[in-house]
Amino acid sequence: MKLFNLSFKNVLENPKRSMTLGFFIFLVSLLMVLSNSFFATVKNNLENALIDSFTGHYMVRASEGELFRTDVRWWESSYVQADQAAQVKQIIEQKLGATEVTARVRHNAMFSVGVQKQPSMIIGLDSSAKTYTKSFELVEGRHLTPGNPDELLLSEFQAKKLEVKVGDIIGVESVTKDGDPIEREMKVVGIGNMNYISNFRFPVAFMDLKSAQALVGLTNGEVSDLTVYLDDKSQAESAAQSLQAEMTAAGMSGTGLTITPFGKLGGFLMSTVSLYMSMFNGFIGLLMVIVAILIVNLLFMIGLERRQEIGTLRAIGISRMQNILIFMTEIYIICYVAALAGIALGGIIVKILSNFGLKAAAPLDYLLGREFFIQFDWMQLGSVMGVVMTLVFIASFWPCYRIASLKPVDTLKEI
Amino acid sequence: MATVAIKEVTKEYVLDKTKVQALRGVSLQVEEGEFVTIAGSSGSGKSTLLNLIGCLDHPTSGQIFIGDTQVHTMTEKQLDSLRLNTIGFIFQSFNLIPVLNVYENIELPLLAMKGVSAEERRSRVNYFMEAVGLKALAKHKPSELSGGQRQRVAIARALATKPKLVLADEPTANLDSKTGIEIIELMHEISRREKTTFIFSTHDPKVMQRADRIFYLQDGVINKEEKR
Ligand SMILES: Nc1ncnc2c1ncn2[C@@H]1O[C@H](COP(=O)(O)OP(=O)(O)O)[C@@H](O)[C@H]1O
Ligand SMILES: [Mg+2]
Repeated sequence: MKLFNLSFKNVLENPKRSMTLGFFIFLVSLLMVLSNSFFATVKNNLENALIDSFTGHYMVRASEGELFRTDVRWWESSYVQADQAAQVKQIIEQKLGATEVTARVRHNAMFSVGVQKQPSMIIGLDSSAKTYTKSFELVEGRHLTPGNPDELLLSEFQAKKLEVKVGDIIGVESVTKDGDPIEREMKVVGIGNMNYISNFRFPVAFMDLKSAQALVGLTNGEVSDLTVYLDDKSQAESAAQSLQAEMTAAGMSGTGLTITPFGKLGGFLMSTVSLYMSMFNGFIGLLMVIVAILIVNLLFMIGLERRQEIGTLRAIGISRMQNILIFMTEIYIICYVAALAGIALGGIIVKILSNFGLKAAAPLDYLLGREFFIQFDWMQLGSVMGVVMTLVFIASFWPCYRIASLKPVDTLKEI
Repeated sequence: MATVAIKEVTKEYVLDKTKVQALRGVSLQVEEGEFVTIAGSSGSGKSTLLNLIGCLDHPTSGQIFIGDTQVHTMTEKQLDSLRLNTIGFIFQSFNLIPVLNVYENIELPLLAMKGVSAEERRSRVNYFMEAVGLKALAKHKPSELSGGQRQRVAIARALATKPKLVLADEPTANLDSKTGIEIIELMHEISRREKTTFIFSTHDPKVMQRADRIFYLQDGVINKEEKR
């Protein structure tokens, strides 16, 4: 091990060069920690908001396919029959357990107040619905009274466009599943914002199940879906599988009902986060390429500058493998120290920020909501170190191998 | 048994399309503890011959024995180990590691060796620093030393592993003649004391006279051998 004293001395011998490489490694590590924490937070928050307001932890539907589409059309081609819904609800409540099972009807509607018109998606909630209140932050008024027909919860931006206040009556027009136009008068009981999701200007309004069924023409109590909430997000996949098994056992496999965990329902909302994430990762990837080029370049220079030294080491019996290790250690000392510094600084920044609610300014509030708490995660720091060290290995092994494979006779030639 | 035995060794370098016949059938034998020189003018093939003996290069034909092992059948790993454990090298331009001090330079090959304790390492480095008269300069970097002092460090480094054979290619060529003679004297003295075989090359008549035996090399053949 004392052999690597040589690597250490060489790092110190050329501080400027070591610092240049070290600076880039520092930067990559720091940015990775910050961006990973940031995006993990955004993803998690958005996921939670979607779960609370739209998808539940899993959903039982009569059809498959995306829930969130950019054309904001989300009526279903087929519905869950009332008796099927009751049976599934019973299975979940008796055999599997859940914190909430809500029957819902989703549809598209047009709100009108005088000449103002505003298209919206509507969600009708049965009287057991509670979780949606977690993500629907009221600005004015109250949440829905369970079982009360013709009450409406509007997003703040919809209310602004329609110029309505709590207590106002507005017209709700829609087309039933059979193609007949229908209109109801409904009372705005609350105006608010859905955490995160309002920022996507996703026009959605809540009402009670019966009103929504009327707007779709579901006269026999059919529903669009059963939305199931659990205690623990990580249980969603397995709970969905258990329900599938129970439903098959109960002879419901022919009903055409599908069970989808939230992970498959995020649609374009989640892909927006993924898009930002991959843009940032692309930037970090570019930095990593620069780092790799720097490492290769540095080793190439070492190979030229220390030709005779390399030959001497080989001549006096230091093996090729030991030589490779000596040069890789030199790179690793620089990179490890720099990565440690970058990760430590990033970790400290994230740790401090995690104690304060951050106010996001445009255009970031779009992704983050107005206030958010960044998440600190030890595992994440470790994984950044792993990624950086792997990068260093990939970039340095081949050049080190080449350096160490120089033939001693060629390097030792006296002129 | 001879420390080094060379039989009909030739070495041909291929440069583009021309071939250079650097050695044209060299045979020689060096006994244990001998202090011999390969003497010849520039381009006569001295470095080529020493590189072959030192297992840094392969002969085009012929056989080379170090002790009882025939080296040209050995793998790279075995040759590394042979160089580390059996052969010491001294170079014309000293070839010390610039970032390491005197002590660390001498210690370096011992770090690559297996089964040398820290204790043993320390005592050997100190012993050979003393032997070449550099104990006081242990903490100095090569750049702070004179040419003669640097070559003394190189001698100590070559001997620290207790090799059977030390090869020195023109060890005095970069030194003034007085220092050169001192270095050869030091090598000779250590050779006698440690019973280590030394083969060095030189083109300097005053230097070659210090050897027990002189092999005169000219145009890749040994045309005279002189015992003193
Ligand atoms: N790597 C090489 N490639 C081609 N020719 C070489 C090489 N090394 C040595 N030679 C040639 O071989 C001959 C002997 O060289 P060398 O052994 O270096 O002699 P010396 O050390 O006695 O000066 C010279 O003609 C030299 O030009
Ligand atoms: Mg030479």
